Amino acid sequence: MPLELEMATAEDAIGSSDRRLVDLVDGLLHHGVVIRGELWLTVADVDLVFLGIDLLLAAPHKMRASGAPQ
Amino acid sequence: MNVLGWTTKHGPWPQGVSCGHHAGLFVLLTDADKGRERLALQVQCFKAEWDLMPVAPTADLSFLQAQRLAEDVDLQEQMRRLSGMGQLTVSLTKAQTTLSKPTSGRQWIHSRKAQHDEMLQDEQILRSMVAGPKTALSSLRHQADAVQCDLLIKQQDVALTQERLITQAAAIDTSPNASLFVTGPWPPFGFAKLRTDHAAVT
Amino acid sequence: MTYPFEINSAAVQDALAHVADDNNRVTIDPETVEQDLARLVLGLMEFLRQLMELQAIRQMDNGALTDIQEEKLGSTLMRAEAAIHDIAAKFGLTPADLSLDLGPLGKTI
Repeated sequence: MPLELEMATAEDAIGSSDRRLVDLVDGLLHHGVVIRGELWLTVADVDLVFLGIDLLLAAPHKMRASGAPQ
Repeated sequence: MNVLGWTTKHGPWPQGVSCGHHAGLFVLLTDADKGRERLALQVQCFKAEWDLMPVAPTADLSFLQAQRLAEDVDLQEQMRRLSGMGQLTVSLTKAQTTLSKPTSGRQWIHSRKAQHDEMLQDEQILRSMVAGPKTALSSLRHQADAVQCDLLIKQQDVALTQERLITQAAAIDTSPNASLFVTGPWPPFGFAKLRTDHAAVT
Repeated sequence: MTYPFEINSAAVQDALAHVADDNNRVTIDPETVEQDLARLVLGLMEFLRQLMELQAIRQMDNGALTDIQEEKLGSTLMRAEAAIHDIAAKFGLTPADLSLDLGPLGKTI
Protein backbone atom coordinates (compact mmCIF):
# COMPACT_ATOMS: atom_id res chain seq x y z
CA MET A 1 0.00 0.00 0.00
CA PRO A 2 1.44 3.43 -0.96
CA LEU A 3 2.83 5.67 1.74
CA GLU A 4 0.33 8.33 2.78
CA LEU A 5 1.89 11.80 2.55
CA GLU A 6 0.82 15.09 4.09
CA MET A 7 2.35 18.47 3.33
CA ALA A 8 2.25 21.42 5.67
CA THR A 9 3.82 24.86 5.53
CA ALA A 10 5.82 26.11 8.51
CA GLU A 11 2.92 28.41 9.45
CA ASP A 12 0.42 25.51 9.32
CA ALA A 13 2.60 23.44 11.63
CA ILE A 14 3.14 26.23 14.19
CA GLY A 15 -0.60 26.95 14.36
CA SER A 16 -1.67 23.31 14.31
CA SER A 17 -3.04 21.27 17.18
CA ASP A 18 -2.39 17.96 15.39
CA ARG A 19 -0.24 16.09 17.90
CA ARG A 20 2.19 14.83 15.28
CA LEU A 21 2.78 18.33 13.95
CA VAL A 22 3.04 19.68 17.50
CA ASP A 23 5.76 17.10 18.22
CA LEU A 24 7.53 18.16 15.08
CA VAL A 25 7.45 21.85 16.01
CA ASP A 26 8.56 21.12 19.58
CA GLY A 27 11.42 19.04 18.22
CA LEU A 28 12.53 22.01 16.15
CA LEU A 29 12.64 24.46 19.06
CA HIS A 30 15.95 23.05 20.24
CA HIS A 31 17.68 23.32 16.89
CA GLY A 32 19.60 26.16 15.34
CA VAL A 33 22.62 27.89 16.80
CA VAL A 34 22.88 26.85 20.42
CA ILE A 35 25.78 26.72 22.77
CA ARG A 36 26.22 23.14 23.79
CA GLY A 37 28.69 20.53 24.86
CA GLU A 38 28.66 21.83 28.40
CA LEU A 39 26.47 21.37 31.43
CA TRP A 40 26.08 23.60 34.48
CA LEU A 41 24.67 22.71 37.85
CA THR A 42 22.86 25.78 39.05
CA VAL A 43 21.24 26.65 42.37
CA ALA A 44 19.39 29.94 42.93
CA ASP A 45 20.77 31.30 39.64
CA VAL A 46 24.31 30.63 40.87
CA ASP A 47 26.35 28.36 38.63
CA LEU A 48 28.08 25.94 40.98
CA VAL A 49 29.56 23.14 38.95
CA PHE A 50 30.57 22.96 35.32
CA LEU A 51 30.55 19.55 33.65
CA GLY A 52 32.50 19.17 30.45
CA ILE A 53 31.63 15.61 29.68
CA ASP A 54 33.81 13.50 27.43
CA LEU A 55 32.73 9.92 27.27
CA LEU A 56 34.48 6.97 25.78
CA LEU A 57 32.03 4.22 24.99
CA ALA A 58 33.05 1.02 23.29
CA ALA A 59 31.94 -2.54 22.77
CA PRO A 60 33.98 -4.85 25.03
CA HIS A 61 35.66 -6.77 22.23
CA LYS A 62 37.04 -3.55 20.78
CA MET A 63 38.71 -2.67 24.05
CA ARG A 64 40.15 -6.17 24.46
CA ALA A 65 41.42 -6.19 20.89
CA SER A 66 43.38 -3.02 21.57
CA GLY A 67 45.28 -4.73 24.36
CA ALA A 68 43.52 -3.10 27.30
CA PRO A 69 43.57 -5.17 30.51
CA GLN A 70 40.57 -7.43 30.96
CA MET B 1 15.61 41.02 24.39
CA ASN B 2 16.45 37.68 22.85
CA VAL B 3 18.18 36.95 19.59
CA LEU B 4 16.33 35.27 16.70
CA GLY B 5 19.32 35.02 14.39
CA TRP B 6 21.71 36.80 12.07
CA THR B 7 21.21 38.04 8.52
CA THR B 8 23.07 40.06 5.89
CA LYS B 9 19.89 41.74 4.60
CA HIS B 10 18.20 44.98 5.68
CA GLY B 11 14.66 43.67 5.97
CA PRO B 12 11.98 45.08 6.38
CA TRP B 13 11.25 42.84 9.34
CA PRO B 14 7.84 41.90 10.74
CA GLN B 15 6.28 43.58 13.74
CA GLY B 16 7.85 42.50 17.03
CA VAL B 17 11.33 42.19 15.52
CA SER B 18 14.04 44.78 16.00
CA CYS B 19 17.46 44.86 14.49
CA GLY B 20 20.99 45.49 15.77
CA HIS B 21 24.20 45.68 13.77
CA HIS B 22 27.61 44.19 14.53
CA ALA B 23 30.63 42.99 12.57
CA GLY B 24 28.87 43.50 9.24
CA LEU B 25 25.86 41.41 10.23
CA PHE B 26 22.35 42.31 11.34
CA VAL B 27 21.22 40.70 14.57
CA LEU B 28 17.45 40.20 14.78
CA LEU B 29 15.93 40.61 18.25
CA THR B 30 12.55 40.15 19.88
CA ASP B 31 10.77 40.55 23.20
CA ALA B 32 8.68 37.42 22.58
CA ASP B 33 9.54 34.91 25.27
CA LYS B 34 7.79 31.74 24.16
CA GLY B 35 9.73 29.37 21.87
CA ARG B 36 6.76 28.98 19.59
CA GLU B 37 6.30 32.78 19.17
CA ARG B 38 9.98 33.17 18.40
CA LEU B 39 9.80 30.32 15.90
CA ALA B 40 6.84 32.00 14.16
CA LEU B 41 8.82 35.27 13.91
CA GLN B 42 11.88 33.42 12.62
CA VAL B 43 9.77 31.83 9.90
CA GLN B 44 8.44 35.27 8.87
CA CYS B 45 11.93 36.79 8.80
CA PHE B 46 13.27 33.82 6.91
CA LYS B 47 10.55 33.94 4.25
CA ALA B 48 11.19 37.65 3.63
CA GLU B 49 14.77 37.18 2.41
CA TRP B 50 15.79 33.50 2.65
CA ASP B 51 18.82 34.68 4.53
CA LEU B 52 18.55 33.85 8.23
CA MET B 53 21.03 32.03 10.42
CA PRO B 54 18.60 30.91 13.12
CA VAL B 55 19.22 30.65 16.84
CA ALA B 56 17.48 27.75 18.60
CA PRO B 57 14.18 29.42 19.60
CA THR B 58 14.51 28.30 23.23
CA ALA B 59 18.20 29.20 23.58
CA ASP B 60 17.74 32.68 25.15
CA LEU B 61 20.80 34.09 23.43
CA SER B 62 21.56 37.69 24.47
CA PHE B 63 22.52 40.50 22.09
CA LEU B 64 26.00 40.53 23.66
CA GLN B 65 26.49 36.81 22.98
CA ALA B 66 25.18 37.28 19.44
CA GLN B 67 27.66 40.14 18.87
CA ARG B 68 30.52 37.94 20.02
CA LEU B 69 29.37 35.11 17.76
CA ALA B 70 29.02 37.55 14.81
CA GLU B 71 32.80 38.01 14.95
CA ASP B 72 33.25 34.26 14.62
CA VAL B 73 34.59 33.22 11.21
CA ASP B 74 32.83 29.88 11.59
CA LEU B 75 29.45 31.64 11.86
CA GLN B 76 30.17 33.84 8.84
CA GLU B 77 31.28 30.81 6.83
CA GLN B 78 28.11 28.91 7.75
CA MET B 79 25.97 31.91 6.79
CA ARG B 80 27.56 32.04 3.35
CA ARG B 81 26.83 28.34 2.94
CA LEU B 82 23.20 28.59 4.12
CA SER B 83 22.21 31.78 2.27
CA GLY B 84 19.29 31.15 -0.10
CA MET B 85 18.63 27.79 1.55
CA GLY B 86 15.84 26.45 3.70
CA GLN B 87 14.96 23.10 5.17
CA LEU B 88 12.11 20.68 4.74
CA THR B 89 11.43 18.39 7.68
CA VAL B 90 10.43 14.89 6.64
CA SER B 91 8.87 12.72 9.34
CA LEU B 92 7.87 9.08 8.98
CA THR B 93 5.20 8.39 11.59
CA LYS B 94 3.87 5.01 12.66
CA ALA B 95 0.67 4.41 14.58
CA GLN B 96 1.71 2.69 17.83
CA THR B 97 0.82 -0.95 18.17
CA THR B 98 0.18 -2.14 21.69
CA LEU B 99 2.39 -5.02 22.69
CA SER B 100 1.27 -7.83 24.94
CA LYS B 101 3.02 -7.85 28.30
CA PRO B 102 6.09 -10.09 28.16
CA THR B 103 6.09 -13.07 30.48
CA SER B 104 9.79 -13.92 30.28
CA GLY B 105 13.07 -12.08 29.95
CA ARG B 106 13.69 -13.75 26.63
CA GLN B 107 10.32 -12.62 25.29
CA TRP B 108 11.03 -9.09 26.52
CA ILE B 109 14.43 -8.78 24.85
CA HIS B 110 13.02 -10.29 21.65
CA SER B 111 10.18 -7.77 21.56
CA ARG B 112 12.75 -4.99 22.05
CA LYS B 113 14.81 -6.43 19.24
CA ALA B 114 11.69 -6.50 17.03
CA GLN B 115 11.06 -2.81 17.84
CA HIS B 116 14.68 -2.02 17.09
CA ASP B 117 14.56 -3.89 13.77
CA GLU B 118 11.37 -2.06 12.84
CA MET B 119 13.07 1.25 13.65
CA LEU B 120 15.93 0.32 11.32
CA GLN B 121 13.40 -0.52 8.59
CA ASP B 122 11.68 2.84 9.05
CA GLU B 123 15.06 4.53 8.83
CA GLN B 124 15.65 2.67 5.59
CA ILE B 125 12.33 3.85 4.12
CA LEU B 126 13.04 7.43 5.19
CA ARG B 127 16.53 7.32 3.73
CA SER B 128 15.23 6.02 0.41
CA MET B 129 12.57 8.76 0.37
CA VAL B 130 15.14 11.52 0.81
CA ALA B 131 17.81 9.96 -1.39
CA GLY B 132 17.15 12.37 -4.30
CA PRO B 133 18.81 15.71 -5.01
CA LYS B 134 19.33 17.90 -1.97
CA THR B 135 22.17 19.99 -0.67
CA ALA B 136 22.53 18.25 2.69
CA LEU B 137 20.74 15.85 5.01
CA SER B 138 20.62 16.12 8.79
CA SER B 139 21.18 13.12 11.02
CA LEU B 140 18.04 11.13 11.77
CA ARG B 141 16.07 11.97 14.93
CA HIS B 142 13.94 9.45 16.76
CA GLN B 143 10.73 9.98 18.66
CA ALA B 144 8.49 7.38 20.26
CA ASP B 145 6.48 6.83 17.09
CA ALA B 146 8.41 8.67 14.41
CA VAL B 147 11.75 9.03 12.74
CA GLN B 148 12.57 12.31 11.04
CA CYS B 149 15.27 14.29 9.30
CA ASP B 150 15.80 17.66 7.64
CA LEU B 151 16.68 18.31 4.01
CA LEU B 152 18.66 21.41 3.11
CA ILE B 153 17.25 22.81 -0.12
CA LYS B 154 17.81 25.83 -2.37
CA GLN B 155 14.86 28.19 -2.52
CA GLN B 156 14.26 27.48 -6.22
CA ASP B 157 14.28 23.69 -5.68
CA VAL B 158 11.61 23.50 -2.98
CA ALA B 159 8.56 22.94 -5.21
CA LEU B 160 10.40 20.33 -7.27
CA THR B 161 11.53 18.46 -4.17
CA GLN B 162 7.99 18.42 -2.78
CA GLU B 163 6.66 17.01 -6.05
CA ARG B 164 9.35 14.34 -6.08
CA LEU B 165 8.48 13.28 -2.52
CA ILE B 166 4.81 12.91 -3.52
CA THR B 167 5.74 10.74 -6.52
CA GLN B 168 8.07 8.59 -4.42
CA ALA B 169 5.58 8.12 -1.61
CA ALA B 170 3.01 6.85 -4.11
CA ALA B 171 5.52 4.31 -5.41
CA ILE B 172 6.55 2.94 -2.01
CA ASP B 173 4.91 -0.17 -0.67
CA THR B 174 4.51 0.01 3.10
CA SER B 175 2.30 -0.96 6.00
CA PRO B 176 -1.02 0.93 6.26
CA ASN B 177 -0.22 2.49 9.67
CA ALA B 178 2.68 4.57 8.31
CA SER B 179 2.43 8.13 7.05
CA LEU B 180 4.88 10.78 5.96
CA PHE B 181 4.76 14.43 6.98
CA VAL B 182 6.64 16.95 4.89
CA THR B 183 6.76 20.33 6.59
CA GLY B 184 8.39 23.57 5.59
CA PRO B 185 10.24 25.32 4.26
CA TRP B 186 11.70 26.46 7.58
CA PRO B 187 14.85 28.40 8.35
CA PRO B 188 17.76 25.92 8.16
CA PHE B 189 17.68 25.02 11.88
CA GLY B 190 19.15 21.57 11.45
CA PHE B 191 22.21 22.91 9.63
CA ALA B 192 23.07 25.93 11.79
CA LYS B 193 25.50 24.55 14.31
CA LEU B 194 28.10 26.21 16.46
CA ARG B 195 29.89 24.45 19.25
CA THR B 196 31.78 26.06 22.05
CA ASP B 197 35.15 24.59 22.75
CA HIS B 198 35.73 23.23 26.24
CA ALA B 199 39.08 24.95 26.22
CA ALA B 200 37.43 28.26 25.43
CA VAL B 201 35.18 28.02 28.47
CA THR B 202 37.81 27.49 31.15
CA MET C 1 28.22 -6.63 10.03
CA THR C 2 31.01 -4.44 11.35
CA TYR C 3 30.55 -1.42 13.56
CA PRO C 4 32.92 1.51 13.52
CA PHE C 5 34.75 2.26 16.73
CA GLU C 6 34.38 6.03 16.53
CA ILE C 7 31.97 7.55 19.00
CA ASN C 8 29.74 10.33 17.81
CA SER C 9 30.46 12.53 20.82
CA ALA C 10 28.02 15.19 19.62
CA ALA C 11 25.25 12.58 19.85
CA VAL C 12 26.34 11.60 23.36
CA GLN C 13 26.35 15.20 24.47
CA ASP C 14 22.98 15.80 22.86
CA ALA C 15 21.65 12.76 24.69
CA LEU C 16 22.97 14.02 28.00
CA ALA C 17 21.65 17.49 27.29
CA HIS C 18 18.16 16.00 27.52
CA VAL C 19 18.51 16.02 31.29
CA ALA C 20 19.38 19.72 31.20
CA ASP C 21 17.23 22.66 30.16
CA ASP C 22 17.69 24.66 27.00
CA ASN C 23 20.61 26.62 28.38
CA ASN C 24 22.44 23.44 29.27
CA ARG C 25 21.68 24.12 32.88
CA VAL C 26 20.47 21.57 35.38
CA THR C 27 18.68 24.02 37.59
CA ILE C 28 18.38 22.72 41.11
CA ASP C 29 15.56 24.59 42.77
CA PRO C 30 15.28 24.54 46.60
CA GLU C 31 11.57 23.69 46.21
CA THR C 32 12.16 20.74 43.87
CA VAL C 33 15.69 19.69 44.76
CA GLU C 34 14.76 15.99 45.11
CA GLN C 35 13.09 15.89 41.72
CA ASP C 36 15.87 17.80 39.98
CA LEU C 37 18.60 15.56 41.34
CA ALA C 38 16.53 12.48 40.57
CA ARG C 39 16.10 13.60 36.97
CA LEU C 40 19.86 14.02 36.59
CA VAL C 41 20.80 10.69 38.18
CA LEU C 42 17.95 8.63 36.73
CA GLY C 43 18.53 10.18 33.28
CA LEU C 44 22.11 8.93 33.38
CA MET C 45 21.04 5.52 34.71
CA GLU C 46 18.46 5.11 31.97
CA PHE C 47 21.02 6.26 29.41
CA LEU C 48 23.42 3.50 30.48
CA ARG C 49 20.61 0.92 30.68
CA GLN C 50 19.57 1.72 27.11
CA LEU C 51 23.16 1.39 25.96
CA MET C 52 23.29 -2.08 27.53
CA GLU C 53 19.99 -3.01 25.87
CA LEU C 54 21.30 -1.92 22.47
CA GLN C 55 24.51 -3.84 23.01
CA ALA C 56 22.50 -6.95 23.98
CA ILE C 57 20.41 -6.65 20.81
CA ARG C 58 23.57 -6.32 18.78
CA GLN C 59 24.97 -9.52 20.27
CA MET C 60 21.67 -11.26 19.51
CA ASP C 61 22.06 -10.08 15.90
CA ASN C 62 25.48 -11.70 15.84
CA GLY C 63 24.05 -14.94 17.22
CA ALA C 64 26.45 -14.69 20.13
CA LEU C 65 23.96 -15.46 22.91
CA THR C 66 22.49 -18.74 24.16
CA ASP C 67 18.81 -18.98 25.10
CA ILE C 68 19.77 -18.95 28.77
CA GLN C 69 21.90 -15.83 28.34
CA GLU C 70 19.04 -14.14 26.46
CA GLU C 71 16.66 -14.98 29.30
CA LYS C 72 19.04 -13.62 31.96
CA LEU C 73 19.90 -10.47 30.02
CA GLY C 74 16.26 -9.88 29.13
CA SER C 75 14.89 -10.28 32.63
CA THR C 76 17.70 -8.18 34.16
CA LEU C 77 17.27 -5.30 31.71
CA MET C 78 13.49 -5.53 32.01
CA ARG C 79 13.66 -5.32 35.81
CA ALA C 80 16.23 -2.52 35.65
CA GLU C 81 13.87 -0.54 33.44
CA ALA C 82 10.92 -1.19 35.75
CA ALA C 83 13.01 -0.17 38.77
CA ILE C 84 14.15 3.08 37.13
CA HIS C 85 10.57 3.90 36.11
CA ASP C 86 9.32 3.11 39.63
CA ILE C 87 11.87 5.39 41.27
CA ALA C 88 11.18 8.07 38.65
CA ALA C 89 7.44 7.88 39.40
CA LYS C 90 8.14 8.42 43.11
CA PHE C 91 9.77 11.73 42.17
CA GLY C 92 6.89 12.65 39.87
CA LEU C 93 8.95 11.96 36.74
CA THR C 94 7.58 10.14 33.69
CA PRO C 95 9.67 7.83 31.48
CA ALA C 96 9.54 10.61 28.87
CA ASP C 97 11.37 12.91 31.32
CA LEU C 98 14.30 10.51 31.13
CA SER C 99 13.99 9.68 27.45
CA LEU C 100 17.03 9.76 25.24
CA ASP C 101 17.47 9.52 21.51
CA LEU C 102 19.85 6.61 21.16
CA GLY C 103 18.90 5.86 17.57
CA PRO C 104 21.91 7.30 15.77
CA LEU C 105 24.14 6.75 18.80
CA GLY C 106 23.29 3.08 18.85
CA LYS C 107 24.83 2.73 15.44
CA THR C 108 28.05 4.50 16.33
CA ILE C 109 29.11 2.29 19.23
